[in-house]
Amino acid sequence: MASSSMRRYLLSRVAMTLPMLLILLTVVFLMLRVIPGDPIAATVGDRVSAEELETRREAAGLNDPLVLQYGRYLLGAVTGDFGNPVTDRRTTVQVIADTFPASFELVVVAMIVAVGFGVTIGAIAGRLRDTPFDVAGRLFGIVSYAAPVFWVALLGQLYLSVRLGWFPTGGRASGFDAPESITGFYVLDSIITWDLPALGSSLYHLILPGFTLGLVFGGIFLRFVRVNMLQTLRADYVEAAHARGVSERLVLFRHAFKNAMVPVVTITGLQFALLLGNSILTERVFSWPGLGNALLSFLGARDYVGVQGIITFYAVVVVVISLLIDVINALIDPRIRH
Amino acid sequence: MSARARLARTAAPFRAATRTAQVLIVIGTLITLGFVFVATLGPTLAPFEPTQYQVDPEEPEAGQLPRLEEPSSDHLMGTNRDGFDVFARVIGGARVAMIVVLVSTLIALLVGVPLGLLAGYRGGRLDRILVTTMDAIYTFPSLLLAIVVAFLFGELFAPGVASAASAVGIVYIPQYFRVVRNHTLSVKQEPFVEGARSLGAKERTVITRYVFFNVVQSVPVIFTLNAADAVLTLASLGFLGYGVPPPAPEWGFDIQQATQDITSGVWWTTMWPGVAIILLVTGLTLVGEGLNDVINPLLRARGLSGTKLRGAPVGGSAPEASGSRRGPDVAERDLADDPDPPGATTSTSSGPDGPPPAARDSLPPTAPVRSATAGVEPVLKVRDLRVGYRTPRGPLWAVDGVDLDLAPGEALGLVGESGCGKSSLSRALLNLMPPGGLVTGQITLAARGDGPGNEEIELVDASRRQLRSIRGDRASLVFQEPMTRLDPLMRVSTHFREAIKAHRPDLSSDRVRELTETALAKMGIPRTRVDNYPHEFSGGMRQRIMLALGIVLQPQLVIADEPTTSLDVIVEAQILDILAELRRDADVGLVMVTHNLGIVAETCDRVAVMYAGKIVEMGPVEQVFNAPAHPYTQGLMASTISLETTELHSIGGSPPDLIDPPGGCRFAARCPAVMDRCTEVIPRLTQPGDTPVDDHLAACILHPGADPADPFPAERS
Repeated sequence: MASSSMRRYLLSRVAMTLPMLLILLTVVFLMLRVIPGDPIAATVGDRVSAEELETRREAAGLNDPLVLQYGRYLLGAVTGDFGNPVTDRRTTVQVIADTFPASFELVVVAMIVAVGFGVTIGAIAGRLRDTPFDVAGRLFGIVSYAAPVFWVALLGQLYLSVRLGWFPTGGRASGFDAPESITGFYVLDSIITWDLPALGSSLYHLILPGFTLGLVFGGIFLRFVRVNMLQTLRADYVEAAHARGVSERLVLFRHAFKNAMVPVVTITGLQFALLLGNSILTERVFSWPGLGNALLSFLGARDYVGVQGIITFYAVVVVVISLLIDVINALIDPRIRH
Repeated sequence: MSARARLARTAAPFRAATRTAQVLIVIGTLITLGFVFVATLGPTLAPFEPTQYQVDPEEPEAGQLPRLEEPSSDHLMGTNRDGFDVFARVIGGARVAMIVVLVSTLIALLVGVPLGLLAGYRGGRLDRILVTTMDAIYTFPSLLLAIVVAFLFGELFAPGVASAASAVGIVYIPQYFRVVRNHTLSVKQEPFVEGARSLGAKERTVITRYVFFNVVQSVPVIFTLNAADAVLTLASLGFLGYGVPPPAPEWGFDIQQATQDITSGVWWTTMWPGVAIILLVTGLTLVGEGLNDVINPLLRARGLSGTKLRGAPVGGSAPEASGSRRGPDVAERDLADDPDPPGATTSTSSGPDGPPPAARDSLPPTAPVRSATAGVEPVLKVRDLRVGYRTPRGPLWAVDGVDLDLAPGEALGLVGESGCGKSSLSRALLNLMPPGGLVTGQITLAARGDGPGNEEIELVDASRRQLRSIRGDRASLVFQEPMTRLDPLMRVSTHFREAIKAHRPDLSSDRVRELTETALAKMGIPRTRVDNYPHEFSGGMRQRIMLALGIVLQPQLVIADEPTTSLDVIVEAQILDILAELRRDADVGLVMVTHNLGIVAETCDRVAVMYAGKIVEMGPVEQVFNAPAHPYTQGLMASTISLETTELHSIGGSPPDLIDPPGGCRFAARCPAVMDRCTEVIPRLTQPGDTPVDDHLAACILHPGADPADPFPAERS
């Protein structure tokens, strides 16, 4: 019964995703076309002769009509070809494969931290509305949201790494501890190869960047979960459950909390995208070799092709995440499947 | 409306908010205003310019500001590595942040609002494309978007405040777009737009005006929360080098410049800009969240503002009786907070909240309440029941001194206008109160056979654990809104399992299943649908499911609160049949709360008429309906419609304010038979002189004995 409606929902959801992806890609394409000049001229224009420039333009297809370039770009994006950066020997896909695992690991740890403390404190604060716990929890949520990611990261680095020496100041693993690269995910690779020193070192390096990034986003979760709890706690079905003599604990967890979590799953998707964006700040502070740092160096070199490739990849990731979140939501909430 | 009245109305939700919410808003507003003040006037007040590195510009030889100097009286926050005064730069940063916030909001509004109007107004494919585009922008990581836009605008034009503000502003376009579009869509379906068009007004003007007034309400919240976010985004851009370019003072950029200082022990260049960001963002967020708490009705604190209720109202709000009704030794406590009160739990006179027996004796005794079946022990006995709520304007006693008895198998109809206290009474019978609610008096549920957990129990003083074991097992409450009373995430069968397991933890799964299916089958819900989710049922079916949930454990008492509103007549008849069968076969006592007199006539033995928190008339249905003794009941009867109706009556006026109820009879202001005496004394329930049955009571001084000053009629004493 559930599977057929679920399949139908999935299909319609995928169908809805395609126009969004198309629009995102179009926007990305157009954005990087409005800049005066072209990628080749912007990066190496002053160092090569006019003829050399022209040959390289021709080779890169920049002299083709815009529509043709657009078509080529879309086709590339769909088939997993995000172009060849001017300032890097690697293809964009190669660059992404080298750097994205680092960013992803960072974001996953940050997400666990954010959800962990945000949901717990938020739910308790909502239950204990207007008690000292609630006020303290809310203020903590607001202040941790208000603290700039990079500032917290800097202070953490200064005091916990430099002064106290508890954590490394940056990087993904120390010295020769990096695991043999299979997937690019250090934690995963060191588990696959059962390289315990590498696993320890990878996790150890993840703690400070992950916590400083997650702390800031935990504030957002905290506030959101609290507000949702306030609403579900006064829902009619909660009162009805009380009227049936269901125990306080069950009413709280099975009815109020579970219903409060439905919108939280939705914003988790959005937050994941936001975290991915904000990890660029953490990566900068901790010299984390992630996608954000790759984007920054392409931006610094005015390598439009590289920038476009990475932004395109971000767009694809964002769309995939929002699709995944909808699927999870549909699994939790039977109403969505219809 | 005068300016003062308008102000009072705007401030009303704020005053109704809890103390915490108020304090947080005030703190947030003060912080924000402080920053606005500093941003506008600060630079003229600060001792140095943010980009001044010479002590006195008039005399360049006088010397430069020292570099990286510690905070001192000359430089409150020290100086940075460029030899700039950090305090001056923090203040200058406030101005830059304010300008960027304002300009970016303006950009977001200028783009988002017209697009929203266009999409909502035109609809169709344009709407779909715009909505998808905005969704795409909204889902894209906002910081990345801002970085790319700042980079583009920097390349296209020049990096500066305008580029940074555009980059920050683009992020917020989707939010304004969405609000405006949704309001435009909803107003297009309103009949008055049609009306305005037929009157010759331009539809577009009408829509724009309506949308404007609706959107203006939600803009403050969106604006403050976006402003907080904008400050952070701007600082992040600055930190990465894509914000407002130097030498303009910008917090994020200054922190980035200071990263090299940290390792050499210079903390002040990093610390102060960061503190400034945290303070401003915290202030803005407090205001935005506070406004949301206050404006959003879903978040409004119910029953938590105003003074906490402690004990029963003084003298049932009768001024002349107040002195005698409350002794000095009345124990004060809040039932909702005290699960296990000490002392006698089943005192015969009243609970510790009610007036002590001595005080009570000085009162004219209330008339005895009789049950229909004389000699049978009542399943439910209610004495001097009061239900109060906390409100910002003071305590509200929705039920104010109610006595009633209910025999097993008897059905009592509880009727009255909305707001008369019927729903409060029905919840109070299970002592099921929202936060800030208080029940006082005495509610006694008779023993159900023998065995542990079935003894007679006093519900007002019962512990939470005792109450939980009663609710849904021995006494059930069936609510009126079938659509929202079932948990949308839970299968119907899970609702049953949860309820059954709560009271019979030892039952096997098979037995639970069997009970569930039997109870549902009785209500006409087939076995095949037991595992469906609530949203898969119609309203009528859900109401029957609720009823099945209420009776699955064979309670002694069922309280049905408007069980048939919002149902069609056929389903209504089915449900009434089920209820009738229940009390005939299982001897269930039924309290039927309704405003539908027809239902009462059809299903109930006795009826109690409530007005403004008090029972004004009670008796056998036939007697009360055929010969109503209270002017209010007479008015109610006259305003019902039947086949013989030739002229429709209604009772003029509206019920009194229960926070500050009138002295004397509460119906006096609307009563056609009002006398001077009516506003002086509270009439007591007494047997009308001309009634043929002895359990018909009315509280009106038209009848001898109802005036508490009168001597008792001989046959009563």
